Amino acid sequence: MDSKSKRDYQSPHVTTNNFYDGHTLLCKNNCGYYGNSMQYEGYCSICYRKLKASSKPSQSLNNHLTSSTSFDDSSSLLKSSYSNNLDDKKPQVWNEHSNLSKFSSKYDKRKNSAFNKIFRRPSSSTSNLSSHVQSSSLNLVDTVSKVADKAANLVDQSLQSSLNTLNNSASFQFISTSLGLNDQNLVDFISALNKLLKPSNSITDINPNSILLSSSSNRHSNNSDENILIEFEEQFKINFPQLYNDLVKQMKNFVDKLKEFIYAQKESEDLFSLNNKQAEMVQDFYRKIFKYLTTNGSIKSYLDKLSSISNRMNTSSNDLVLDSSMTESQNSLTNEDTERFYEAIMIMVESYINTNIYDLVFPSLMSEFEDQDINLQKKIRSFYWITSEMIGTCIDENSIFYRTYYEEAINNIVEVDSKRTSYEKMLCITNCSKNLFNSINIASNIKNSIQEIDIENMNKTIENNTNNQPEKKSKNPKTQAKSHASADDFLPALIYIVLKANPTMLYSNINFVTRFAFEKRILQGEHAYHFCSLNAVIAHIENMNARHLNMSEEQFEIYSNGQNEMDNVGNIQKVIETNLKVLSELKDKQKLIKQETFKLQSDIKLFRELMRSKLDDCIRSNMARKRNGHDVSSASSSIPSKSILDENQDLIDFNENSSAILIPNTPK
Amino acid sequence: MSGKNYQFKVVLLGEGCVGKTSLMLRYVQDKFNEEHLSTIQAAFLKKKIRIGSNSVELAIWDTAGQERYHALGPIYYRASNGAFLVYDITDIDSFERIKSWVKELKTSLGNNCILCIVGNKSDLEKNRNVPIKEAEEYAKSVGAKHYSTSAKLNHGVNELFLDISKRMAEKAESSQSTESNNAQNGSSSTKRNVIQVVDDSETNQTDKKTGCC
Repeated sequence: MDSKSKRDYQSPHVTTNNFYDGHTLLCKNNCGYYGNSMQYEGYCSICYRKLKASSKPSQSLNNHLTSSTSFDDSSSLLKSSYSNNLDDKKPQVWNEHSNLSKFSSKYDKRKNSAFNKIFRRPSSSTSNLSSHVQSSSLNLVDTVSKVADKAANLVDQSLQSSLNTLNNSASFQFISTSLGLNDQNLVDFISALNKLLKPSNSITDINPNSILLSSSSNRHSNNSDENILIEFEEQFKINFPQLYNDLVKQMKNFVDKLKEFIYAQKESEDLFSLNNKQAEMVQDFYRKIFKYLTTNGSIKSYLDKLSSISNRMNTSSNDLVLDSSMTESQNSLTNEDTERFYEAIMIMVESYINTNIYDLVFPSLMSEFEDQDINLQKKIRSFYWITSEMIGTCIDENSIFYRTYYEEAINNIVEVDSKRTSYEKMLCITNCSKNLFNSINIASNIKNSIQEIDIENMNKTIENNTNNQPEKKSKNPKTQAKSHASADDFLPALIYIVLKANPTMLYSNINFVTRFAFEKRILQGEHAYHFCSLNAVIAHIENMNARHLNMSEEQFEIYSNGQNEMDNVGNIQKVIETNLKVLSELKDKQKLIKQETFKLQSDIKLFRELMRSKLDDCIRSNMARKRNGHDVSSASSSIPSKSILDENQDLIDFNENSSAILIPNTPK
Repeated sequence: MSGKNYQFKVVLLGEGCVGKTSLMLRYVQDKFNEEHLSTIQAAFLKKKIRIGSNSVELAIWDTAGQERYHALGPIYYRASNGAFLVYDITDIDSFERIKSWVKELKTSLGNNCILCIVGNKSDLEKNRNVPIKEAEEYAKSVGAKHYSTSAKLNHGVNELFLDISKRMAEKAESSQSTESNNAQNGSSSTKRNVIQVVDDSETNQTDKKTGCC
């Protein structure tokens, strides 16, 4: 989504560059901005809008209204919102960046220069521009200074008005009729909702054997995660047009308010309070929306409908994705459904808000936490020497058994920075955790099965009497009952992966989530758990000391200062160690393969015996029948059965040969 | 028909190897059929139960028990409705560590959090090193309840979770009125600010000092 929107973003400017002839490029109003002859009749967008507003105020108002209410032409709210916003607010966005560049040594310079390149702004006109910015923003908003106080009130008012419209009986009828017509749509909606809220895909059963056989097939793609949200939104739009438009209107209003607020605040120097105020506004908005959802009576009627349909789905078809817990407790269905419905809507609202304010809010967050981010990254980089043993995790970066999961986990945690919504960011963290859990499970299970094999081998060498055999068999299922990865294993593994991945701008991202995600989601649920774990890990890394790594203070000092006299020797030692580790793992893998081949061999043997006994039975019964029947045809019938036996004997011979080839070192 | 729908967060605290994870797994696994347990992990589990007409969804958070992660506790038990403080009845040290958790919980969560002190591994009664009387008296002195469980034999596990759920539901019931008042005053916004990582690391440092001595 990110790359796509960026492309959207750049395209208009690329095209304007084609029309470049030095003269027509500037705004006709001589305001210092570049104009757009294609869209704005040679004016810049602000002057154009001013012009329009002064000539036909009523019409523009109408335009504005229709644009905010009808979303039929925009394929997806989340996708379109970004490009929409850029289309008509181009200069504003740029302004905001130029103003942010006040904190700008802090702000990512590459991005800034990219901006300048795109817009080809003459740098000399910046002072001119900033004054223009002020005047234009003043014109845009009548009472810029009061917006902060007003915003909450306005949101309240819009809520009230939308409440009124919803309670309006006419609109309600419209909703109910549309509900009646769109049962199929509702079904689609529910499945989309379930997909959205379903805990992200997890591989249920992992045993080392399956890993050996198909290491690549287990790789699962998380590409669908983004599409799920869009799908849900589509379905939501189809099924609840009224509610959808309502929400969209409110969200649009709010985003505008927030933008105005941010523009108004740009003179203030204190980043922390500014960011906090923004977060406050967003959280207030979330709370209001949530309250609106939970208290509105007419939404209740949607939900009744929804639950009745999901009931029907439960009873009629099992293949639909539904939580099995829902079937279990039919009584609390409405309650659960309501919760899930709210949750899904809140995710949507949150994602919309996040995508829209990301560009406004994230840079200032970045500058607020820049020092911390850089320090953390430096710290992590200085911890390059930490090994998995020091942290006490079973995960190791060089291991061959779970490499795919390990790499996937690193990818996930690095990806966090590239996502634009807190929902997606949290999803990335959760996916990272899931992959880590998989790795841990594989690691511990492989250890277990290796031990098992060792024990078996020991038993074989001791060669006790047959009494041992049943004991062994009773032991096997016990170890087979897999130990799930617990928090004891998980936290060190997460620390290790964060150290190895060294994700960029962790603090900024985490603070973005804590400030601009719906509060409830940070405190409850599985995403929250993994998010908290990441927080814990960061706190731990910040305070990491010798005690945490099972080493003496001196050693720790030597390592962390990089003044290791033994550095060369240490490096060589490290390489040797990792090589040894890989070798030993290969040995383990071989052991597992060997065990599997033994198993296969014994299976073949068993199969052979079974076949033989069955054939014997068959022949015997045939013979008996023959003896009883004294038939003339008996002679002819005995011949084929014998030939079958012969054939089988051939097969057995072949099996013996082939197994001998496959397993050169049969146990002796 | 529809009663209230509660969502509670319960956190498991205690030293490593006292059986936190086994307790949780025993509770969640035993009642659900195998099919439902599609989890690959045992760090965060959910369970729905009914208490009277109300349905309660328990979100059980496991924590790492190693001593070195002690300082990370606050991040996990923030905003939790209940806490299990698990100790091993054969290990007096694990009981002593409970006390430091209790202190922390009391200071950071006040009385909002229901405390349960759980003596696990009651199947090893003959090796008991923590006198049951002492444990019960201690629990009483901090306003917690004491339980004896055995995750291995499944003794007292269901009762433990059911009891805490009941107590949390009662607590939520009684505090609902005050909570709504708080929401009106907008105090929830101040609550949110606690989330910042910066704060956590700061508290950690102070925690560590106490832990060292």
